[in-house]
Amino acid sequence: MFLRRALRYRWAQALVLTGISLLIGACAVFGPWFARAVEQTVMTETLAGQSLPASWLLASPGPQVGVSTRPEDLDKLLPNDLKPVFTPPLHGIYNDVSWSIPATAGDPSPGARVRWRDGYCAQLDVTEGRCPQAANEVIASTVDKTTWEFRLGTTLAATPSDVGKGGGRLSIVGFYQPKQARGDFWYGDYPTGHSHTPADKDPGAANEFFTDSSTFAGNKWTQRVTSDFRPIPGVARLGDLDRLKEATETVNGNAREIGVAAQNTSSLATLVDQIQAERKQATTIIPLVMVQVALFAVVVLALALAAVVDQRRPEIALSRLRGSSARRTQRALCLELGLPVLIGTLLGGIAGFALLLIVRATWLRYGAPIELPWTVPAALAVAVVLALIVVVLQVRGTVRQSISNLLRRVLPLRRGRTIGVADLCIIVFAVAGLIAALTGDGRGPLPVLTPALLGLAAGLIFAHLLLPAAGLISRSALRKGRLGLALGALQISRRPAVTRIVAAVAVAAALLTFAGQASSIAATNRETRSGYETGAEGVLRMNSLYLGSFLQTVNQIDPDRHWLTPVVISRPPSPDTLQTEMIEPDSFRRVAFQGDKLTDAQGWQTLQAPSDLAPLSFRSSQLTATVSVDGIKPLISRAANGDQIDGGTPKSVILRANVVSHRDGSRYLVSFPPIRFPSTKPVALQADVDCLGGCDLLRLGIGREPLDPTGVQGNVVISNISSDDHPTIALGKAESWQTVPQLGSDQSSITAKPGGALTIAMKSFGTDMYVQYATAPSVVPALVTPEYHWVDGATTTPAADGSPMTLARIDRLTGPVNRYSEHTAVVDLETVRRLGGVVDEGATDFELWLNKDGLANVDTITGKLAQAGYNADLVDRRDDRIAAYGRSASALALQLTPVVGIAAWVLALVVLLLTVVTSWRSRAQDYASLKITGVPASATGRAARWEQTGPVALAVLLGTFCGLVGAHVALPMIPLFATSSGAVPLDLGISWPVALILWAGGTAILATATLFLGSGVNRRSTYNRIREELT
Amino acid sequence: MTGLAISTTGLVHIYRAHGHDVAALSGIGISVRPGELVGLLGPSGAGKSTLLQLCGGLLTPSAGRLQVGEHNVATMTDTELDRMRSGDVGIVLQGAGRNLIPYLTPADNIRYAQQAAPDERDLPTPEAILELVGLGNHAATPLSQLTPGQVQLCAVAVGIATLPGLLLADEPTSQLDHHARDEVLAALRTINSETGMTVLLVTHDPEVAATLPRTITIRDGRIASEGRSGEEYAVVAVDGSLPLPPHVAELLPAGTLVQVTTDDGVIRLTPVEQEGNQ
Repeated sequence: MFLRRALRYRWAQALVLTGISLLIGACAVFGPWFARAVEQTVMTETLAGQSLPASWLLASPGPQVGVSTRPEDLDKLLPNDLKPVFTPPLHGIYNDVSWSIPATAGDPSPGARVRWRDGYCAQLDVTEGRCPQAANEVIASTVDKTTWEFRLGTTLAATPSDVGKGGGRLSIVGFYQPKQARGDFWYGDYPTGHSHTPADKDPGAANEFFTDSSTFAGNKWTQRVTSDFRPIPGVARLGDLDRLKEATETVNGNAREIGVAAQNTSSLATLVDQIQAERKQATTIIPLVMVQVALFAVVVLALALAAVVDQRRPEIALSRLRGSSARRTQRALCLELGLPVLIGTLLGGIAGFALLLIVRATWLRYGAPIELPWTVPAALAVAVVLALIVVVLQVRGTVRQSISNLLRRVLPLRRGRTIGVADLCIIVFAVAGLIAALTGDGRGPLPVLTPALLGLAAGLIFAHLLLPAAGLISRSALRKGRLGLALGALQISRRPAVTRIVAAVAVAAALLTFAGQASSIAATNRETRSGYETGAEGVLRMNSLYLGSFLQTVNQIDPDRHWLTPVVISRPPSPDTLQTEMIEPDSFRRVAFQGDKLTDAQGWQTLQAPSDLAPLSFRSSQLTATVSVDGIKPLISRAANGDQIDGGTPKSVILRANVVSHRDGSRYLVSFPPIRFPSTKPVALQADVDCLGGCDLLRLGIGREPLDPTGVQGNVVISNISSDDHPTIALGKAESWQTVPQLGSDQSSITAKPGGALTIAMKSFGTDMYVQYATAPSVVPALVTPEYHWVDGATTTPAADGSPMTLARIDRLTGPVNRYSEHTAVVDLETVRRLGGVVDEGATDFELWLNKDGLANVDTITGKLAQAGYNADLVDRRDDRIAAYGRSASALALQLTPVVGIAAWVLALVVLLLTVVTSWRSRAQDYASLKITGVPASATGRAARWEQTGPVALAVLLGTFCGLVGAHVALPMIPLFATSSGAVPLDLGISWPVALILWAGGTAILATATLFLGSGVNRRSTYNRIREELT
Repeated sequence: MTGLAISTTGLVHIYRAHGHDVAALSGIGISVRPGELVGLLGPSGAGKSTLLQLCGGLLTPSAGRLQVGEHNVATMTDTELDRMRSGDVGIVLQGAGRNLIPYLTPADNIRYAQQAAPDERDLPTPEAILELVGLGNHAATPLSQLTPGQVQLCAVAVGIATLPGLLLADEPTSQLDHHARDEVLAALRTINSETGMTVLLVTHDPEVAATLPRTITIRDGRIASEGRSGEEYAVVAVDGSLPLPPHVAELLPAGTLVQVTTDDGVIRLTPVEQEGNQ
């Protein structure tokens, strides 16, 4: 009946209630909505950013003659219900051919791919001539034109490579350059741009020839047909994920079932798994963050309602006095207070939607469509019910008091210090949550709610302890004559309302601190992980056939390693075994991301190649070794059962040597003529070597002739080894020659010992055995990633040439291994270089890792590399990875945390203002009364200013502490990355600068507010104030 | 409409605070006839307001009997008390502002007070009520524009909004100037005479008391005396005790032995000389 006038009379309170409820509604709605939008955005951006892995690449499995399968036939493999979310299929036909120019017949036939792709001409810049319009017309690349000196009208005789017959004559009618070399049109099968003329072992190759589809109409070709399509980002929705995965996983089986000869090459199923993992991040982080704010907002609503209802006590009493029952009075008051709360919560729904639109346009870059998941109205309904329950509970408690109690201006102090049931429930709930978080397995929402719960529990406990403590302080200060402090403390002790402020501020500070920690720690971890995954600030990759020449080029470009560090990766055939990351320790420590943290000083020292021996270098076309044998006798081997195996009489041994060429780093095997038994006098043995450009003598060893497997033992005494430039190559001490371990060896052995220039003591059953000069360790020290199952003496890793290196593990890895963080052995690049060998091109990557300066000068570096014949690509940048992680569900979700912190502070200020607004009259009257009794205005001023400033400052400190503890507990539960496992450990340490800044800022803001408000109260504490009615 | 009678016997009320029991009323026995206008007098803390609140059902007696009309207040449930206050008993609290909803006009305040009235009751219009107390022209005037005396009259009007049988008014004339005080007293007398409503008002203003036909003075939780038409009488309690008027009590310190004799209808109190007494 009088609702409208009641609301109008206390419009400010209604506004505050509406505002707080609006926040609750907004949180409730925005949480699930934002989570859904983030999930959809992640899906859209993943599909857009990884369009090639997302694509379905359907191709007939093998060459076919004629058109038994048409490209259109492959389209049947895409289920009809998924067609709307895929791009239209792009058809193609191709045939790998060998070709020749008839006029130059007899040359090796280079390879090429003759291709038709639907709409290809629009993707090419035709630099000369035109696109093919008839069968057997082709358009060649401008690269080929240069390489092969093609002209318009040049005719090529092409034959399918796989059968070596058929084909036809192709006539060049134009030349092209692709408009976008790596454009989406090509579905990863883009023109390579490579073209090279024949070399020793290579017949040469041309770039792709494009032709008209009619070329393949006859039966002369053995073409393969393709049909490619990809999910359309933004059109494919979260609801399609399961079907996309299922269809991708079953397509090949379906093809067999329906008799379409095709196979799908797609990583879409993996991508779907990746998207699902990111969805989990979003659905974990966002609701929990929003629940914290909503929970706080509910508490603030309860506190605000408590203040509002408290102020209505006289009206409640009046209603009861006029005969209204408690229930009727409760109903009327619930209506009056519930209406703004209801309106606020519903408006919050609209505000949440508006916020979503803003976020969608900014953070999410329109990556998500506007949807209405069922969780949104459900969350809004829950918020409405929850907010109204809070209203009812707050009203109910007051309305049910006796009328005589309601009529009192000041409630009598309860005997002792009791805690209200609501406060007690909150404390118990919060402490239970905290205990669950600290002792449980980290599952469930409670751990992540720790900051809010802890802030609430600690804030309330502190607030309730504050009242008696303030009483004690007041009495103590009074005894000491400190009137201002005594009055201020007294005011605190007799105003339970201060508990509301203290609790609210503590929670706000806890939430803000948590938000700051979550945000900064997540950002730090993203940057750290990006750094480790990239390896450095940037990575250039290139191919090289020779390790030595690669390093020479690097030394020319940046001899002092100001910009870069070279890294060579050698991959084993099996992914389960170790790959080799060859690094240059000194420059790696400076250039790689946190490179110096890879190992400690001793680790670095052990890793590096020996520097105390000079290599045994020579320039020569031959080597002459003066050798004798000593103490030769047959060696009886034993079978597994212990029986002796008599192989007869040994006939000879062969002295072998490994030399490493200075020219290209390759390692050669030098075999001297056999030393036949019995021979006791020194013989001069000569062997040709290709070392006019210089070589290092790396190993000496003993081999056997093929038809002489009989065991032999004895000494091979090398008196001298000479080359063209060295009459004697000084072989050094016997200790400088280390046995090269023989994996899976028989009972053979070899050691070096003094005698002559070098004496090799051997036990040979036929296997070649070597001792290695100690310029390179025979067992290579390596830092091995910890997850690898290490076996002492049996673990190898491929050298640059792919040959196995036996490793000695340096058990001093102190950080993640950059870039290649699993199944990796980090070895010294110089050691590997000294070991020599022809690079296994297919299994070896040459990389230059750049620091910031190097990245800034990347064009200079690539230019110099190009001059040296290296085609280097910038394949990875740390900033790109940071940006990519910045678009992950985790990062997008955690962008909320600063907003949450700010919202928390706004709520705390609301509580503060509300408490001040509802209590300033009585406070002003108190101070006015004190002034009348002779208390100086300066003393009441100090008391007015500090009665709230002190508790609030302490509450900020307490809340900050709770936020830090909460972050420590909750952050491990927050999935910062889609893959929680990995070699790069999460750094969840406290960010002290952030914590200090937020603490200082929060204290300054709230202290300023309370000082300002306290001064205002003191100014209003005049005599007239005493006569006012408190209502 | 007829006024309600009030009858108390051995009425006791004890406040419990800070671990101490304080007896606000110690065996009060009074009887107020329907339609009477009675003033409760006494110093602060004597128990006047407590008696008033007991009559209004705002407090529950600790012991004794309290009958308001047909209501045995001591045994009533909260619902019954609500019902009693909604129709039979009107209350005017001390401090006019406390009786009024600040954002409502006088007429709306009366309507607000009438909301809980029993359906069967034929309620007067707010304007009629205001006319009765002399505020007929201020039905729609905002409270903030009324004088303190008018606000108090408005509070009285709200107290009689449902034309109850009993009006309990706590210090209705305090903090008012003489003119306003007289207006309020006049309004109460009018209400009493025109409606037959029993009026029990608390005051400690002797001038106000002097204008009332009957006063009951309470001291230390007991009936100290009763005034009728300007004459002050001591009242014999149920247990036969007789509180002496203050000027007599001064002559008889506590513990004095008194010889009580009757002489031709005159009761004589004679202090007896004791050993050690001066």
